[in-house]
Amino acid sequence: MKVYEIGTQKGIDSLRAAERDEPAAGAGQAVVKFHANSLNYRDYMVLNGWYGGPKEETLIPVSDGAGEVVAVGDGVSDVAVGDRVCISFFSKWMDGPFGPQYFGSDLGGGADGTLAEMGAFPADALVKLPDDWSYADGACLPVAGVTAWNCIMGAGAYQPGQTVLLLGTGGVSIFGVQIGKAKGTNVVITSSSDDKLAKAKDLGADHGINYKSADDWAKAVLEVTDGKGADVIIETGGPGSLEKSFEAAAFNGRIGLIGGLAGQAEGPLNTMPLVGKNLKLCGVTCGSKKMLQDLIDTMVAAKAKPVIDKAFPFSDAAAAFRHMESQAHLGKIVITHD
Amino acid sequence: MKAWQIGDQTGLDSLTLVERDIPIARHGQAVVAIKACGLNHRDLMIVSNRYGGRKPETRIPLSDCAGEVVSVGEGVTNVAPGDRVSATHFTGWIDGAFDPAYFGNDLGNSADGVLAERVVLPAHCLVKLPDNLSDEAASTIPVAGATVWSCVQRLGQVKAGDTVLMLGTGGVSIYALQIAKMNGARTVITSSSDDKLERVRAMGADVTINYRTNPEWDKAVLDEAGGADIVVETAGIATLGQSINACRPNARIGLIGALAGRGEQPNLGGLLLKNLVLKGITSGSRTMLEEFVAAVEVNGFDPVIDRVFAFDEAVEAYEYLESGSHIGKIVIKL
Repeated sequence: MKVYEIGTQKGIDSLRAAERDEPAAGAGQAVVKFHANSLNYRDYMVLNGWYGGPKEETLIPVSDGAGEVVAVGDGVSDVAVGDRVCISFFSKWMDGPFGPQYFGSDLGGGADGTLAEMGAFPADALVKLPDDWSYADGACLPVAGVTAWNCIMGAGAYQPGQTVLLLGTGGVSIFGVQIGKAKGTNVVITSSSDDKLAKAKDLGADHGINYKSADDWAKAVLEVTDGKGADVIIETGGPGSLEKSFEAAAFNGRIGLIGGLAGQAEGPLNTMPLVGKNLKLCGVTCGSKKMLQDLIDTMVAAKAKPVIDKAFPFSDAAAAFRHMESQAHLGKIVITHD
Repeated sequence: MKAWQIGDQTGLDSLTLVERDIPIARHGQAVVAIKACGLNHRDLMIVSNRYGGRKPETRIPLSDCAGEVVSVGEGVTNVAPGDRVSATHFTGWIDGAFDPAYFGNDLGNSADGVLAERVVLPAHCLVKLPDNLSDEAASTIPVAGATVWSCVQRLGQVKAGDTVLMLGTGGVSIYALQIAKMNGARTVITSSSDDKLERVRAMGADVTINYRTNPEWDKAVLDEAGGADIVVETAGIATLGQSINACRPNARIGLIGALAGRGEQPNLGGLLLKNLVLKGITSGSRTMLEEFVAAVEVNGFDPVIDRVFAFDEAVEAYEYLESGSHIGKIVIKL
């Protein structure tokens, strides 16, 4: 079967095709024949050697995948051959709080990922797709969707009527808009593009702020929330963003700190607003299988589907990464297998 | 009656002893005869105009007290004359989440404080004191106690077997140590003084680390205690990076007090990788104070009072606090 490997991790060109034996399902495992993948910025970092140091060149990249179960091993009862599934990111994190024991089970980083024709995975990590969802839809959720879910519903302890602030229009932010709307929130989103803000409003965002044309986006957030600020912020911004998020937060606000580059030292930081406003800054690394299931249930009930920016064929995975590098996307970049 | 005022806020010498009319309890208010006051670090900042802007010169300082109710206004039912009480310094914060409006009624800051023979207070901010708490002991509780309760119980959700890390041996650290021990937690405390560490070991600290002789104290927390589940971060941004390093996954860090502030941003990547929570804490509500008092009523309490000054010696008490040579609390007795 065909797989991709991360190679020398010097950029997108390091991505290389390889042949491997078809996997067999060990005890407790299921073999998934992939029909779709989606990309996350983390996958791009892995290819560049920026994600926790260099990894084995033969590692299969990409964590998000959806496909069909084609074989199950001994002791597997929750999924069966023919089931349409996607795979939870930390394949051992089922429920409850995060724990160090889950490190190493992250797909496409600590363990082989999903950019392959097939793969054998712990059957416990598989979640069934709704009948009217495509494989491409299902492939979008595990990392970006669950991260947004954890920031808003888990660490964010969101309550209806509060304000959720999303920075930029990447995959996590767009899921944030959809979850926010499904849960009755006031959604505020920022972007440097009025076109993207218009699209985000079509998806349900209540307020769009152009951070290039607004003098001070934090002040603009306060203005559109009658001076209160945002109760939940998904902090996906770059240098200098965190201090602005403190300014844009409501008293008792929760800020989810996510992403591989988040929190790097970048000069001075004023923590007084964190104390004065009793803010909570929460480190969030994706979430559990239970959160993935809750997210799917919520999206089905809200009749929402993941927002796919563009699909690329499996034979040209590098083109999908280049599209991500260009930063032109809104929502998810997908790879389809046919 | 006699009262102290903060004066022109140019330093400790600005403190002025004056004569004022005895206050009267109006609707919803109680007049309290003050028996003892406790000092906090922010009281130093207020008299030198380093705490949120200049205040009226007639402002009475200090937020921590114990006293006796001598009269109540109409509609007051929660306290009666003769009750021994303490007061919540954010007088409007009864329960629930923090609200910016509470800054508007902050004893010794935005409202008159307690360093006077008699003060009039909203009755709803008063907490009754148990018999086994002396006036001196009770006067050290409100700010530090509500802060500790907010940090260790509410944010920290402490449970038996957790490890709680305290930085330094100030009042908040000492009370956090006692609340952590009541919960069956393992306690780790740092100081630059071996003498102070010996004293906190006698109070039940399980692991003590001298951060001067052992600058990599974060590693010591990991090696000797397996990492912290709860950090009472009283030192601020300068130590935050090491506090993050010292944490186990899913740990809760309470960032407390006026020592936070602007500094080089530490690497916050550990927050993410370990799914930590960092929360800013500005003291707590009346409910939190009541819960702290209930806990020490049942379990006993060692407030660690370093020194007691007379009412006339208020300036000396401030000077002693400023010198930093104390461990635990400084009290002014009336």
